[in-house]
Amino acid sequence: MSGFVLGIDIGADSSAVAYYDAVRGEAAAVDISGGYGVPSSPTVVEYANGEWVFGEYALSGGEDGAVFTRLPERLGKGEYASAGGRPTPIREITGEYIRDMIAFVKGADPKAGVEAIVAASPADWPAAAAEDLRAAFVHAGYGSALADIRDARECAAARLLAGRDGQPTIIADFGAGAFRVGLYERRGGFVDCLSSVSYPDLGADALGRAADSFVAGLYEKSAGEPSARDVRQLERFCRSHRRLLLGRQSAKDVKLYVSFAYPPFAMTARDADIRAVTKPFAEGIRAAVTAAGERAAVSAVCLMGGGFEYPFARAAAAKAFPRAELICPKVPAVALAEGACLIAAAGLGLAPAFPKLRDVNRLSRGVGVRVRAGNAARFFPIAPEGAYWWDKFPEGTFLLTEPTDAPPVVEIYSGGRDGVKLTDLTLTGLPRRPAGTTVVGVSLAFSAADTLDVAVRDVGFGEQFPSAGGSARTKVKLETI
Amino acid sequence: MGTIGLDTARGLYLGVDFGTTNSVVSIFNFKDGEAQTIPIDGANIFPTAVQFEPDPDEPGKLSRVFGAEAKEAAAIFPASTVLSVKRLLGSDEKIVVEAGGEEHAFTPAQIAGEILGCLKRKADEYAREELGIPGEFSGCVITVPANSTDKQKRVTKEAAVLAGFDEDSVYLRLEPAAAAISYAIGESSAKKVLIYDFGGGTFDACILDIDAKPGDEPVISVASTYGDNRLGGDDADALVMDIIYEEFKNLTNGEIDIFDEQVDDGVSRRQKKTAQARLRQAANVAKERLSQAKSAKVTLSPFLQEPIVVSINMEITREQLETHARVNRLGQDDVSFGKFEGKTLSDMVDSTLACVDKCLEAAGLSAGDIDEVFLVGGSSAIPLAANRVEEKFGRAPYKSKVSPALSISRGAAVYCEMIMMPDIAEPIVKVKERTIHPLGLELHGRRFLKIVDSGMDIPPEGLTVECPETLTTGFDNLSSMAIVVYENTAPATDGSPDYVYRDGMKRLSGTSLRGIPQGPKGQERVRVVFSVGQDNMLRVMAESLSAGGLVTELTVDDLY
Repeated sequence: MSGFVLGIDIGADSSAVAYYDAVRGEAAAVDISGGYGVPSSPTVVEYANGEWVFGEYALSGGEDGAVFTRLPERLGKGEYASAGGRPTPIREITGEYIRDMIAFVKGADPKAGVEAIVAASPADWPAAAAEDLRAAFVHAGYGSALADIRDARECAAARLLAGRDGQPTIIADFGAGAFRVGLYERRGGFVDCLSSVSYPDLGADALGRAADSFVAGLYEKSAGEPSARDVRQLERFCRSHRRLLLGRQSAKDVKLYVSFAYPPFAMTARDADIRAVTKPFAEGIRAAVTAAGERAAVSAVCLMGGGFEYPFARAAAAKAFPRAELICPKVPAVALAEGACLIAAAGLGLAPAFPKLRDVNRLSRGVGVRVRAGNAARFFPIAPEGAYWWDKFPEGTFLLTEPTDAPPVVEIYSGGRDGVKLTDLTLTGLPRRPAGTTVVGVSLAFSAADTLDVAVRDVGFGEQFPSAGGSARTKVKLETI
Repeated sequence: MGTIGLDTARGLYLGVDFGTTNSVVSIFNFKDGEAQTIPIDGANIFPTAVQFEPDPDEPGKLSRVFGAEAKEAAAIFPASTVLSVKRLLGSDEKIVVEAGGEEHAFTPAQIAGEILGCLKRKADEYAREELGIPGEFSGCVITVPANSTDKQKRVTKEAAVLAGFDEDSVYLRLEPAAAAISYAIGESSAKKVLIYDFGGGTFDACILDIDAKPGDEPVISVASTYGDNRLGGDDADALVMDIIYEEFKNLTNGEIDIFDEQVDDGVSRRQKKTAQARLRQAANVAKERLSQAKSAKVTLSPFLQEPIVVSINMEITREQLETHARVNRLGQDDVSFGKFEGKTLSDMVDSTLACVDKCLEAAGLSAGDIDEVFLVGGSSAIPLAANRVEEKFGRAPYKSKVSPALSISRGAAVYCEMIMMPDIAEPIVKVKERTIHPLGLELHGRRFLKIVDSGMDIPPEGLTVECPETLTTGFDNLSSMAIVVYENTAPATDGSPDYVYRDGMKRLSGTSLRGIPQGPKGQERVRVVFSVGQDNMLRVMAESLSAGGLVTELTVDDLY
């Protein structure tokens, strides 16, 4: 191998990059903070005076420069932003950021190239966003090195589930945008995602905002409403003190010194008040983790994401399943990048191949109605392929082309061509109507990943043939979806 | 949570990088076989700062605030906050803080002990609660600058004992050597590496010999070190302060001196102290930004409010920082200001490269012999430093995948592994103990007599070298002979004799052989033996050959 094998996680709030250490046979995060002593770096880009500035340095920028944040959330929307007066696509700005990240890695061996990169992406990322991310890599000069963009859950599983075959394991990801928790089990050639729920209100961003609002409240108590000049300074102050406030190891008051104000002053964040800020998140985390594993014999709870660098969050997650093993990487914020890196290394045959993620929550084939049209049959999906089982599916309506002399039979299939018949329902109690005057409504809903509720009803046909109220319903147990 | 596989029978050791600006602590994680930084209050980097205030619960006593909180407190409580205490270690200066209207005096060791004590408590708590390790850290490996004096080392040890570490379990190691260890881990080819360690208060250069073969753990030895204990990022901060202060002088027509607290220019002493602290903070933020950006905005608005309102809004460019010559004293003493008066950042970088040259000379090498240059320390992020290093060595310096801010502490943690598990079968790195610099005695005429050469292997039983010539009395009727031991960190390379007053000559210790029989000059002969142990201790024995049993000994606890 002549170059770096990298995993990259460009998060909404902060980003990380890991390289594959072939000697140790593991992924290791690279410090991209430029001396701030943390392997992750804020996903912030500033354009000022004709140059790009990144990460912590961009956060300390002046008011004049254009500052770009939350880049991954803005990809795939065709968005442009002004950089020095020039309309610049967000994908290009992201590309500049990627180039800077990789430059840090290459500092360790400037002569080495980049062999392969796998980038992590949110589970439900639109295809257009992924396309923009590819374009960002091309802009950065690493388009050909980008081997793949992989679902973040797959990267997390690659990092955390090695050697855990047959053991139901919870992975809780305390990321900026949301708190995501899922139950996974590695079996056979797959890692099954048994459940996966996202709680945007519990994300690290929401926690950060709560902490900021608390600090801003303290400021206002001491100094009143901030002046226009101080608003941005106060925002920066709040953000830069999140770690101090939320990362406390022990129950104690925290002193905050407002040196940007004149005259400078001190304020005290009381322990009880800080707890009041974190309490809803601690309770929410515990409840979310508990819910994710309540019907399984959970063997371990794995933690990842920058939010788990706060001790209160780790303690809350640990309480959900006190008998389960708690696995927390040394730096939870870089676990995703490390997982992506392992997938990249596996792709080159350097690391053991990692089983594919089988998302038992997503429909592997569409579920719908098979309708006969002459000698042929057509499949009309109601729950489309790729949808999550918990999604709400609109009712499908079908016009009967035959008279209702005999009660109509609705056949529910999984998949179109070569599909499998799941069930059929006979809609009884219909009055006799001529052909083309009866509409049947078919509703599909999953009450659990393996249980499909099917309902059919007589919708009628205008005022002349109103619904007679006939309906039928059934439950179908599925082996897989 | 599970433990990290530690055998704590020998005590638990903490690797401590006690820096001028920031400190970092790490532990060796036996389960993963690597050093791990312990986050303190959620951050890996802990500002080396303490602030005192009256204890509300116990009148007459002081309570303390440490780290990030204390660093920020400096702008509001400058008189009760202590920053950069490391620069005072080894001096006899008392540190006076004002808290609650009273003055309290501390020695530098006491202040350093307070900060180290906080680090120890936090590390104990983290190890107990997050790593499941029972007990507490009883020992530590603290790193010290390469050019530390014996006194600085002693005071550092004293501070560690005040912090609660067992006196016999405090080990000192050189900062660049510790950084070198973190570099060497995983190396699979033999090479010579220069460590360029530009920290907050000190600069060190160190040349490391790595002997490595694929599949074997690397064996490292330190070939030479050289440093400047009063050259660091704080001095670059002072340059930025100087640029801002020039603007302040323009705005006030030079009528206000915020650093002269005695002069009556209408600005209260308290306001001046606060202004100094805010200036220092703003300069630090601007300098850090200029490590990546070409310009930084400084806004101190208002900077002063009485007797006139002064607001500073200015932009500093990287070019300005690199070329600005220091003109203001900024409250520094003669020695500190004298060293940098009229000097630019470029001059400072030149000084670091001069240390590099001394280091190369001491190892008998040239720049072309160095295979890799490894940048360490927060100030190595200054682009000018990296560029000049690249120019000098003709290759881009190696940037650690580990943060340059953490590598010293992690190297110290690897030393901890060697102390806790000395017989471990497969260490991640082996250190081959060798003498780094020549050791010898002062002779008449202040000449240096080399006894132990550099680069000599120190076997497990210790290295013993007898002085090749017996010493004789230089005057008639002497009853005692001074035995003064020096380390020559910058030996002359042109074959000329070395003198103990030259740059790079470090006095380690001294004693006297008393009670020698009086007689004519040259009659009394004294045999001297130097012993260097793998425990980093030098023992010197001087024995009178004419008066049987007349012996004196001295020891230097932390040689390198």
